Amino acid sequence: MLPFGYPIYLLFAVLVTIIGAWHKLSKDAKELIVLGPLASGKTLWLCFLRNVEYKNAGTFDRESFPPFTFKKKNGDSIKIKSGYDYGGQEENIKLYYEQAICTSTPKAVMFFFSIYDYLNNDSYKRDVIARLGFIENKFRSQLDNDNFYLVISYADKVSDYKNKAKEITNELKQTHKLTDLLSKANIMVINATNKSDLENLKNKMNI
Amino acid sequence: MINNILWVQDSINADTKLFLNGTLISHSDERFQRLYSVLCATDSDRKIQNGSKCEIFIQGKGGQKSYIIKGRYSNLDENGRRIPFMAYINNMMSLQQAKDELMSISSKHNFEIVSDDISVSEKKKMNLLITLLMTIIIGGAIGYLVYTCVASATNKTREATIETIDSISFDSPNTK
Ligand SMILES: Nc1nc2c(ncn2[C@@H]2O[C@H](COP(=O)(O)OP(=O)(O)O)[C@@H](O)[C@H]2O)c(=O)[nH]1
Ligand SMILES: [Mg+2]
Repeated sequence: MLPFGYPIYLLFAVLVTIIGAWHKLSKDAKELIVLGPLASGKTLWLCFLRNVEYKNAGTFDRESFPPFTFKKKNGDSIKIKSGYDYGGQEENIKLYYEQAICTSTPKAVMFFFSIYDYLNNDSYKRDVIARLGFIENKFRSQLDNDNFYLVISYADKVSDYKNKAKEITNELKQTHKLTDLLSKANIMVINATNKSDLENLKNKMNI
Repeated sequence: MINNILWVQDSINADTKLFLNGTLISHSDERFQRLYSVLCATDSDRKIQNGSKCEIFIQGKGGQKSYIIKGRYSNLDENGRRIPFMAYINNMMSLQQAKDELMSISSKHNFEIVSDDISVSEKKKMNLLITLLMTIIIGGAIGYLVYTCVASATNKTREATIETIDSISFDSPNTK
């Protein structure tokens, strides 16, 4: 004969499984905050990392993504909490940057910008410097624990991009006094439309 | 009075545009950031999950509601990306009316909504996982109810039988 109320056991087992899976996912998950101006490759990168199709489309204020896990070449897997893909418009700085950066969860903050536009467009350059200044201010106290990535995109649009990227980072440090942020930064120069560049970036991630 | 707010990011090389009741508000205008946050403050709003590609939020109940709709036009920017927009549409009776209004406001600036991106049904469309879970849980609950009913019915019959035997063995005057 069946034991008393067996469907209750079934129900219980289902609930335990759901809660267990949820707990496992949320435990030791980190935050990934991807910032930067318009069309700098942020959504390309997040889609690549989450392994979802990139639809060539602009981002409105922000779009949430569910928790996910990505695996590095060395076998490490990194769990990421649900979060947001932020649009690059400057009005998002005041609205979202601080609340995104200043939480106590361990995180990586990444800042994307185009090396091509930085070199060829003065207002773009000013915008990048202003945003990095803002991030340095808010993030300074967390720099010992959290990682900061400076991702310089559009490498494919600039010949001699390695030297140019060096000059730019030196200029940001010395002329624009972003020493606190940039001396702790992991700096990468990539073509965000190139899968193998994104793969390299993924393997460099440490959270 | 705010009838509608429309925000679009129609170019990579220029500032985004924000229109209040059809009038362009410049980024240096003190109202700009506040109007922008009206479009973004959707965390506490009811989100309509009806299978639309656009994100749709409702504020208010009954007759006059306001809608916030976020999505992408069919128009493309310099990089060939679909142009993102956000709109706040006030004083609407239904999602259908809000959609019509949004289409008309957008067309004034030569932007076009893909009609299928906004389904006007205000009913919730459940996703597969939730449907599956609900089936398991409800199925489990019904199974449990049926099981307990059957079990208690069986128990009653059994008690009745014992009573009959008891009454025969103790109460019958003819046994001695
Ligand atoms: N050539 C080139 N194009 C890029 C690069 N990064 C982004 N793009 C282009 O910019 C567009 C927008 O990229 P996206 O990731 O959506 O930018 P986001 O605004 O930062 O999210 C893409 O469709 C690409 O065409 C890059 O490193 N090189
Ligand atoms: Mg984007």
